[in-house]
Amino acid sequence: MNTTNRMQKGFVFSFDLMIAFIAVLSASFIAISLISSNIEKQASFIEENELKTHAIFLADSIVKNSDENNSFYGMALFDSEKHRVKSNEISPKFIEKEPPLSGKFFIREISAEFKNGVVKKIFEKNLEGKNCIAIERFVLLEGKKAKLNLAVCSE
Amino acid sequence: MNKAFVFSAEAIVALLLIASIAAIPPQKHETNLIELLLLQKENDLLKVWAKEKTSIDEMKSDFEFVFYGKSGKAAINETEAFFGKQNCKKEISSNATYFSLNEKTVLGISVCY
Repeated sequence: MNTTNRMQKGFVFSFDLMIAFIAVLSASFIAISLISSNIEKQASFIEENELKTHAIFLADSIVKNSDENNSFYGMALFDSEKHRVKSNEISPKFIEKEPPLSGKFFIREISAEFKNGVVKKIFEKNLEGKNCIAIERFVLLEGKKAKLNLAVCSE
Repeated sequence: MNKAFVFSAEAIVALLLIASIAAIPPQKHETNLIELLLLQKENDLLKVWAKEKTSIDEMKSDFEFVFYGKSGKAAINETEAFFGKQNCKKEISSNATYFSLNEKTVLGISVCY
């Protein structure tokens, strides 16, 4: 009698525990999968954001600053009479030197598109990047209105 | 048996709650960068317009060149030019004033995004 009762309890307890384990493990698996997926999305988003930020500030530096030693940091003209930088007025020469690399980002191309559709290449690097972003800024290039296109890629 | 069943149900509910919290998608903060870039482009246009002492027709042409396909507005003093649909949810505006021979000119630009 007692043995039968113990056996019955043991059977019911094990079955119930088995269901509980399966349910708990399934829920844990779902939770871990979702967390893992979210982390991957976040990482990818942060990397993309970093690239965009880098490109936007680099484009701003090129258009607003003047640096004779390194055109990649500033292509704006300098008015020596008034001792000031003429932002948004650029006069770039075709750059053959390698631009300084900043960590995992590199400049792939700098070009200017005029209103008549003519495109002038200022710098080009034939290298494939993992992700690339193009930023456009409006400038006066040698007195003519143009869109300065800057393509920045991540390695 | 009853206790075991109740404990399992609580554990399942708790874990499902954790899973649903973990499933909340990551929030994107891209809007700030888009706004910054639009503001920079507007500033570019205003600088060039102020330098060239532009007309409304030139402003229209430049706006469409820079912000092709976008809605917005360009203005020089009281003269305005509109582009695309005007009732937009969000817009960014910039203004500039310059003086030339005791004459004041106010330039304005706004872009919908």
